[in-house]
Amino acid sequence: MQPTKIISLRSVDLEYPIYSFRAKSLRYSVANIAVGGRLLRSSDATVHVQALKGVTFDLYHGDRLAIVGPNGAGKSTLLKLLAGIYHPNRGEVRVEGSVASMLDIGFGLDHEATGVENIKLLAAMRGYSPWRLKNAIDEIVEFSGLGAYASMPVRVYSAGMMARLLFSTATAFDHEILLLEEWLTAGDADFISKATERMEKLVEGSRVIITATHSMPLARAICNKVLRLEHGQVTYFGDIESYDETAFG
Amino acid sequence: MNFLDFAGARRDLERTFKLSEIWGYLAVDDVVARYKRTILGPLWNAGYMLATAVSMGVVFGAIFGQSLQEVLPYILAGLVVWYVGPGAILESANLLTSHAPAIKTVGLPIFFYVMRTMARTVLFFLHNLLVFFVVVLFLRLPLQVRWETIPGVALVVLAATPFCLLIGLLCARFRDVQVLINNFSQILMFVTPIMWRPHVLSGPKMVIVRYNPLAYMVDLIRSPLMGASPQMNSWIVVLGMCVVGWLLCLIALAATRRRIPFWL
Repeated sequence: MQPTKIISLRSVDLEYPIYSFRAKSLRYSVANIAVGGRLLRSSDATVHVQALKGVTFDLYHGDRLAIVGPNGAGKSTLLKLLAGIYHPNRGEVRVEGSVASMLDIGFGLDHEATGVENIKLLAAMRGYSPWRLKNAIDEIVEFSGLGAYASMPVRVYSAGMMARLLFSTATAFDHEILLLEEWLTAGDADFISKATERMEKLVEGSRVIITATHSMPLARAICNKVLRLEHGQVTYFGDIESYDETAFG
Repeated sequence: MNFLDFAGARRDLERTFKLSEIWGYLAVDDVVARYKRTILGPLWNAGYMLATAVSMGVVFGAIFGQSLQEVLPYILAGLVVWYVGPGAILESANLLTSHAPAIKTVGLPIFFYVMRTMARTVLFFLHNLLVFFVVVLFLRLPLQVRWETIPGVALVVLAATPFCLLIGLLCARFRDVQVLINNFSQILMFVTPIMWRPHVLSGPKMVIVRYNPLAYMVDLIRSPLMGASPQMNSWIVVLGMCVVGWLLCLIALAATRRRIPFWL
């Protein structure tokens, strides 16, 4: 029996415009129409970058995908597309299930607010309703080991405490698809073992994991599939066992 | 994909609706955070509004030969209404640019940010309204609020919401418009009957009230707050703005939603 298809991309193209200072001005744009387009030649006013070109792949229940490739190949763009931040120009993206994006786990932090308030803020910005989080919050505070610090403003936190708060919050929720920029970990030796255990449980619990990484050992440790991007195009997609990174220089 | 992605626009609105608990929470949190950081919280803003109303009341009362007791409730009601309708629209010049990091980091729908801001505006409005009531009672004037206030507020908010997105989009794409709108909002406030009464204008000058949609928004809430029924025209114009606004908003969202993260 074929496992359920969770993610499916069909010839996905994504271009993004980069607007020059002049192209961002209404006065210039209006004057440009008046003189027949001579002020804002598209070559220097708005540059279009082809970030993804003809990307096609399917992921099934249980797949763990590593996206690899040189800098600027489109790895982050692809992750942002799957997270719903970018939308394709052409092609089709199908994602079945809730996506937990761990691309920027510190986003939404308010340094004046307390640890507990920040747990709610971080959760809210990622689509979880803070009104219903009572149990989850207790669990997050418990896991983070912040104790009394949880009710203090996070600006008094040390870097390690901050990392523990962010890690505990980011990994606390149930989800089906997990997007990772890198393997998450935090804190001192004691916490690291707890964190590793939590990450492993998370990996087991999710239907599909997608990570962009430069580390092949990490990819080989957790992933079963590889997608290699170069200049926005897929140059390899398949099982990790048959992927030979030396072939791509 | 077509130029107009209506399915995408509809999805954006549907998802925003489903996330109402969340933008609701963030709006309440904005207010609560202000109470935590300053004793009076959003009442500081209301205090600023009251100070404006008193100083304008003194000046305009002198100009029109009216006592402060007469003009103050009128100006104050006008300001309270201004900030929930026309003011909210004009303040959305930085609605999307101020949320740029969020729009580029988390995949929340675009309309989410409009609703978060609008929900906060309504909460601030309630604070302002409280100050209005207190001032009226303090001046020992009768409180004659009519039932039309409630549907009036609802319709004004419903009509202002799509324009907040339209202004936010325009300012995200064209950065010089943001400056333009910030400069113009003061002028628009002066040509809208907030500090003065429409009947002081005669003949052709009435044009600035008759063809000023913001004046109808103001009338729709201020009149019932002051104990009079709003004009029929106010209902019609604001309802018209509502319909046109939501249509434009849908088209704009369908045309631009995909590109918004790249504008910021």
